[in-house]
Amino acid sequence: MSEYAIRTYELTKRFGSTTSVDGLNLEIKTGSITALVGPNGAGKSTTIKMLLGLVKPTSGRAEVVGYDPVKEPVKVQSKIGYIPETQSLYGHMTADDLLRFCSRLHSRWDAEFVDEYISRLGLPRNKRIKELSKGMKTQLHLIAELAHHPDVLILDEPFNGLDPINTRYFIEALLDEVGQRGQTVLIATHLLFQVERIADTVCLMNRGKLVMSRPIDEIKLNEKKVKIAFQVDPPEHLFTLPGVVGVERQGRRCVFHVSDRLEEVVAELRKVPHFAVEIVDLNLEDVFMEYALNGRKGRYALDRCRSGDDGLHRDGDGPHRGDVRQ
Amino acid sequence: MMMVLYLKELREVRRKMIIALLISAFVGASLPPMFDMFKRTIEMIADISWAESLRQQVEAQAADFELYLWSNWYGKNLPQIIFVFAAILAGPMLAGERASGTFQFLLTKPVSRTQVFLSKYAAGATAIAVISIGGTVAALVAADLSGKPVDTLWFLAPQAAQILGGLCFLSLSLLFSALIDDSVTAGVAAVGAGVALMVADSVGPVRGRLIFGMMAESRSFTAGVPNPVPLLVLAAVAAIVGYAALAVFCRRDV
Repeated sequence: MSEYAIRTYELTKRFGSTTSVDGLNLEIKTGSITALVGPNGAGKSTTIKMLLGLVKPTSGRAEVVGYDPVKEPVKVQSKIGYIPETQSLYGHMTADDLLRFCSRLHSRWDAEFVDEYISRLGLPRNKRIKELSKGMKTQLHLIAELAHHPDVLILDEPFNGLDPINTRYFIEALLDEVGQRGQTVLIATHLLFQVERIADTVCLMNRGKLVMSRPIDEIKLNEKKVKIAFQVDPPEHLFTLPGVVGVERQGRRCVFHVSDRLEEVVAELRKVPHFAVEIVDLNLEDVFMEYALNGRKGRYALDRCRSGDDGLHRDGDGPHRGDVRQ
Repeated sequence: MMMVLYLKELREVRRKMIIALLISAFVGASLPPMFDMFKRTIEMIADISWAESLRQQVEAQAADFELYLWSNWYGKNLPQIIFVFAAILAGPMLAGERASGTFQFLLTKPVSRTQVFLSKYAAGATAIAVISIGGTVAALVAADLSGKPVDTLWFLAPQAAQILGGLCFLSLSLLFSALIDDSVTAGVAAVGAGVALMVADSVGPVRGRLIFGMMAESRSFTAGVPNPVPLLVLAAVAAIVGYAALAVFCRRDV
């Protein structure tokens, strides 16, 4: 089996004049649970649809379990399971009808697995799908997608509309299966606290580009904020130190967002006369906000910082990198 | 694999097919008993000067039951039922699945888009054949019961042309369904295109030479066997338009 279950090479999709995905180079390791996160319109769903062969790339290419979804879509589809963002099951079918239909489309189908999960989750077999609750539909869909034991499972906002109990059931069923078979899972989601529970790697997209791809442990270890109050105007070179991905400034008080080389950065900062230095851990949500906002306002904030401006709410359009969050 | 998809499609079209079959059977069965009423109506308008041209047009039908049945069933009623049914059936076939999101489920299963398209086409073709043959059999039975029996084989001769004409409308409707995202708009566009063809077929230099005209198979009324030329033309049109629909469907993003 290849080291990577999913790879993309300069994958790009344009809809008219809008670039939804822009030269994406994504690598998802086989057996990993990867979260694809990013703000609305970041290009997550379009990327997933290109991986599935539902949307054709404008340029670049993708490889899923070794096959190109454009040239060999059926080979890709025989090895993947997919739960889309929106409800997509046939409402007129019963759960039994749907599972029977799926079983005939897949060459490997585990009927015992289906029976076990249907009874474990208490899903009604003979009720029409349109009469099921959102949670039941999602669970049924998960069973239908897991029953052929796909090599790769792709989930697009799977927790949307699920209450905490159903979300827990969903995650338990997912982790049970993945734990037993070592499948690769790609989850696109906004719910970062769930990502921290289940994913081992995070890929962050913004404006169609991949802005970060890191194991969660590494993020927790390396992604920090360094708050420092200088006694003098800070020299320009501090803002472009290797490892510094963003700076917020209020006069001589600065907050450096560091994603790497923390010790080197702190040592460099300490060389400038200062009152206090504080290193703050970031959770995934903080990191997400940093990168997402950095994509929108980062240049602005950094430019203001360099020109000595404080960068606070100058354009009056809501929070941005100039805001100092405590 | 194709059979699984075909059965799923057939299941989805069955309600529309049953309704269309009932309408087709009702219209077909009502033609023979209405022949006498038709004759009396022609006699009644004999003295009305402004209805002279209409009388001349249908006088031959009033004198010949077989001509009456053939002209009305194969020349008007059945092609119209088939065309409207094809538009209502196939208009939402692709657009509906795209709009409801079910394509995201179906097209991520290990089936090719060509298989999905062909299964839909086959289900539509089956439904058209059922309503065409079902309505015609109802007309034959009603003719028998009305005491005006007609030769069964002779009367069934235009079935191939009717079904192939139906496939032309099916292909056209699927083309609109592949191009347009909204299923209602796709259906309306298909009906509009069919009506335009119908109008073009009833006036002007191409009168009786387009799809509706070829479906009527007027030459086989006297010959008693199907005329191969309209069959070949209808098959070619259905195949070309159907291929265009498939190409659009395969190319479009979901």
